Amino acid sequence: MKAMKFILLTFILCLTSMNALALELSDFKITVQDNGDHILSKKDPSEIFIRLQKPGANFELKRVFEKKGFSDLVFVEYLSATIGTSVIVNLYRVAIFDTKTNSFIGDIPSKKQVKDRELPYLWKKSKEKIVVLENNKIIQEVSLK
Amino acid sequence: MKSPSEKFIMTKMTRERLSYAAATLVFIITSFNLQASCSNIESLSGCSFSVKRSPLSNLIPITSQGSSEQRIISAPSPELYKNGSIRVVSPYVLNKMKGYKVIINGNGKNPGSPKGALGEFFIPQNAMTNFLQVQTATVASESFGDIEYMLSSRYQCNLGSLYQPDPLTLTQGGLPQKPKRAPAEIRENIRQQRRRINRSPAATYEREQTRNEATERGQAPVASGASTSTADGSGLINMREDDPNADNETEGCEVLRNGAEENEGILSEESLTQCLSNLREKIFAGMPRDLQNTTANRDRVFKRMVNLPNEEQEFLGAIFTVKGEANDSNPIEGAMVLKVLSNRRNNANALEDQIKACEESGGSIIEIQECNAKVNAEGKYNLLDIAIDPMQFSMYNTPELEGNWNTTLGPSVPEENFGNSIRSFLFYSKMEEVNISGGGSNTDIDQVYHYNTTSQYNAAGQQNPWNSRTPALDISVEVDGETFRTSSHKFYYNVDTHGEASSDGWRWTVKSEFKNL
Repeated sequence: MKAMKFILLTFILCLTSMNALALELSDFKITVQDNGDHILSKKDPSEIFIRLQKPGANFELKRVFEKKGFSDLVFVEYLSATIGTSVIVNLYRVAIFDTKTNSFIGDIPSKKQVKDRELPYLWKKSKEKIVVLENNKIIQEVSLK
Repeated sequence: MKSPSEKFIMTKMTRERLSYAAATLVFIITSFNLQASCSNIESLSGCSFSVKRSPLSNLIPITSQGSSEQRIISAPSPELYKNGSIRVVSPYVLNKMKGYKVIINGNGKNPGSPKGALGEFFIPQNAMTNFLQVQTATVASESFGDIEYMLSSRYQCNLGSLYQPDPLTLTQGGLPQKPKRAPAEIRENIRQQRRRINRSPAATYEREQTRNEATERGQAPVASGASTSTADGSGLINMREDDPNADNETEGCEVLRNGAEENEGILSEESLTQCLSNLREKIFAGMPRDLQNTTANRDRVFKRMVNLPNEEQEFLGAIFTVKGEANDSNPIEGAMVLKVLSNRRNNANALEDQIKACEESGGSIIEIQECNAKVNAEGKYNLLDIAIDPMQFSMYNTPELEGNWNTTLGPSVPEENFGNSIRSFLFYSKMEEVNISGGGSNTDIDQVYHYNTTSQYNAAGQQNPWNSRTPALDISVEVDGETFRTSSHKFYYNVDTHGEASSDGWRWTVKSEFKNL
């Protein structure tokens, strides 16, 4: 009986993983609405979307990835802004797509890029939420419930 | 062997010679110092001189736009201002010629001489110097023994301007002394001014939200009581009523608390340099000259800055940012950095629509400036908040993002290295009609939020990040008859959207309040 449960669970996990892995950059798109809002949507079905952080300078989809310890979640990374004056900093964020619920659950910063260096934000996940830390301070939270 | 009477005569003669020598020395020092003073174009602002017989040469009338006041439109006859006075308003540049803006007053007693101001005139620096030399000689010949008294009574500088090396100070010998603390009565006036600020709630305002949102009615967004535009009245520097840091005022920075009228003739490169010097001493106290950009040092210095009164924070935000970002002898570069800083503050405070209303009110340039200043004074964020907002102005960056605030502003940087920044600060209020080229017809100078250095823009492998959205702008402005044009910085319009925060509080120009350190 235990063996059966194990096999079943493994099968479900494999299916879930396959589903997640199946997602690619081409499955998503960014569109601009008439009011200037930027929308990141899953192409199929297109009603699954998230409104991106509002005043962004130059949104550009970059990659889709998973992260160890963040099961069921797919991260859609995009260039959200370029700031600075003499040192130009590119800011990247990710929209978090939950494959279990087939929906976006939030949008958090992922990394800064200065010239060729990438400076990732630290993410921590608990059962309830994902927190983003910068200099050991929580700068954003996303609920997983 | 000399008799006692001979000794007495010699002693008396020696005394007389010594007195004469001392008096001569005082005269030489006085003349020398007065000339030294005259060679410094900034130092006479706020001073008044009585005019005896010396005619003023090369006077050129300055007319004010939009003023209906009757003014003399040609150089006045010396008869009109004989026994009158001349007051130096500020340094002034006319057709690339350095000099002073002065107000000439008649005394009303001479035939044909009106009492009061004949108008504003430009007087070249060398003409002013000649005039003062004649005056000095007059003083010396009239009363040698009372030269100090004569100078003090004849050259009356604005007593509020103890940051000006006034002639009375100069008679005490040596180079112009460092400004002293204002006397008790002036400090009390400043305290009164802080109390005088309108304590009533900010005016109810009505503004149309953009993007089809409903019209909003409510109180103007004031963080902690009212605030008021001070210093040059341009709205750049604001003092806040009920400022929790009011008691942390910095000595020598009273010029930041004065209103524009009180500062007429006082607000100068010297007074601002003195204030800045005292502020730097305060925020870098106890720190080594080779201060490093560590997280701990950065937090320590920034915390000291954000604990200053609002007007001092605004001043540091302005001067430091210009120093780090546009330490350029061309004042428009720094002034435009200030414009971006100010635009971002307005954006963060969601005041743009009100400012737009000021500009579309149909008022004169002065009325629009006053309206802008009033609106600017209502914001929650100040210039320092905007300046040190993470990653926006590169100079303040953390070590990992290559910030260089420590070497740009730190204890080892000599005072004179801030000269360009202070000149840009003073230039800012003189910019009226700014010409923009390179953008579309809708380009709005009040929505220019981004710039980068031209050298960075041209660096190999560095793409201009904003060019895909908007072309770089070239900006020029005419001030005092001279055209100034940006060259070392590229400015961008319409990179940012304005006035709204997203659901998580992110506002593009103000990510967070740094004061939550």
